[in-house]
Amino acid sequence: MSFKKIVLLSLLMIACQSACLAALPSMYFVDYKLLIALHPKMSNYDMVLERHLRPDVNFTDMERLNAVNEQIASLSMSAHHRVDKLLLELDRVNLELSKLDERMTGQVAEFDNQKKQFQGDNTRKSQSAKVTQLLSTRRELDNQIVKIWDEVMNPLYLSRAQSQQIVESVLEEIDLMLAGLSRQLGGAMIVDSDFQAAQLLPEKITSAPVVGADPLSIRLYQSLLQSNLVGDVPDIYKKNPELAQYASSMRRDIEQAFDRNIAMQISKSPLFGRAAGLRGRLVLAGAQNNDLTRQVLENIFKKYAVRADIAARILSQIK
Amino acid sequence: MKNTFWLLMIFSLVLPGMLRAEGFQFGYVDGAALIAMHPLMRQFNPETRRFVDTVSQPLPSENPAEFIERLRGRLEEQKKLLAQLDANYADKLTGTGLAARKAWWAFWKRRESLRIYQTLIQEAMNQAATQGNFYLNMPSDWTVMPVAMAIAASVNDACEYLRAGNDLGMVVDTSVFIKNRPDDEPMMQVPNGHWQIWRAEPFTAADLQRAGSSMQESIARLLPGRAGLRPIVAGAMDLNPLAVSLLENITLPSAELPDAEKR
Repeated sequence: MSFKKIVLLSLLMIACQSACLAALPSMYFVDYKLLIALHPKMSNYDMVLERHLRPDVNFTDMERLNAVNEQIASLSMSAHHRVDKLLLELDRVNLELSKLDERMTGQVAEFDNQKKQFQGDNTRKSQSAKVTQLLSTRRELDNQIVKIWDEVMNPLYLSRAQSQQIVESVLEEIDLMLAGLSRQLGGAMIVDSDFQAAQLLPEKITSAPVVGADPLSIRLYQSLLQSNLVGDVPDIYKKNPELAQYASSMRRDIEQAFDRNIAMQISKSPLFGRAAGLRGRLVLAGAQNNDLTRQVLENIFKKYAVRADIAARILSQIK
Repeated sequence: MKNTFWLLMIFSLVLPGMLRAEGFQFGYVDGAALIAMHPLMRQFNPETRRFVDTVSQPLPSENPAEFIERLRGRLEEQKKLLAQLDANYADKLTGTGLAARKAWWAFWKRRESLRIYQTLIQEAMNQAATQGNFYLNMPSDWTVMPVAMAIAASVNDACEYLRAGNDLGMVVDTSVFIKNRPDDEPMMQVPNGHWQIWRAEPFTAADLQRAGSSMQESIARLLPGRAGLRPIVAGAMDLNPLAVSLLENITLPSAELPDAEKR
């Protein structure tokens, strides 16, 4: 085989392969929330407390579990004392805030021509500064209370910061996996199937109804479809040599009017979105088999050696 | 020759995959955010849903003559800006490299933008002069169109430039995606439904969906912003930062282009 033939053959192969790759469907879907919810690292995550159960606590060992519960009970007693004090402080701040709010809403400002400012401007400024300070104190107190209750649950749960780290790593792992899959699929875009298309329904037009009450407007598209207007000039302009010079500009005008009318019809298209079946769907046809949720979960389960029967059972419920 | 043959064969098999794997085919922007940052949006009055100082604006209280005079002042400012922009860059942007071409493109689009601002002001003045006391208070809805088209054109220009410049097939607008809501009210959801699944208790596909939704809500509280709205999860280039700076470059009503150096 000559060198030329080899090169030609390789180019042909590249072209064929590129064509094959180009034909791959390049938009896929994944139910991202399920990937997080069913990730093995999230299996001991408490969605209410936003913390993971401690991996070193053996929940089948009743003796150990009782000891943990006793520890929590005793921590809870001392926490109550500390939280009560903070709650008193919180009540005081809330009372002060509501008094200030009452005072500020009752104020009627009149313009002081001599001072060139509204009466009581300075008082209002100091009042809003006080509100800002009180709100910040209230936030701080809230945080302290959350922290105290968090500490009570420490014997049973990992800290919030530790949980944040774990969740970050899970999200990163899922993203990396999806990026890899996207590359394997020739640069496919992967969309979270938990999203739908927003329906921007036009508001009712008040000043000049374009659709609905105006029969001319409703029949516009029908008449456009039936017209033979595009570029068609009355015969007299073609036959009469004196008028022929105007024919081209007339044709242009007719075409422009037609285009304008079509543009108006297109601008009405959102109104047709109300028709059944169009609402909220991102893809109207195809891509039925492009959901990768099952495949990605399968990879995750394999990586974390999830028991085969459990994995199969979960995967069987993924549509 | 044999070695060359095999080398070329391997090369031809691997190359297309490599080419496809290196770059993205898709990009995405938040179209609504880009529209909101357009300088013309500062003239939008949400109460009247019209653009101030354009033909769409209802002006029941302002005297037409004063209105025209005020706009004449603005028009003069805009004309000066355009002249200044020309003086700053028109003859000074030279070269044929990528940076020079980008600078020229930004200059040209900024110029177009300034001309559109001028046209909008001029049109508002013309209408005020011919129609006197302002269009029975509320001009037709169609008077919003020239402004909307100007905004859309700049956003399209920026997106098309980024699409072509990054060799992408398509740029997707993520602002048209909205999050599905779970079927049940959040209060009705069983907390920690995923524990039921891992304990191998019976569950349905709907249970899975509910567990997923609760998980997402919980993570949104734990890591605010991290598990938020993100419709495209892989395989597309985030063009938002580039689009924002590009749109600023081509639409700000100023005679200075931040990225272009005068030569």
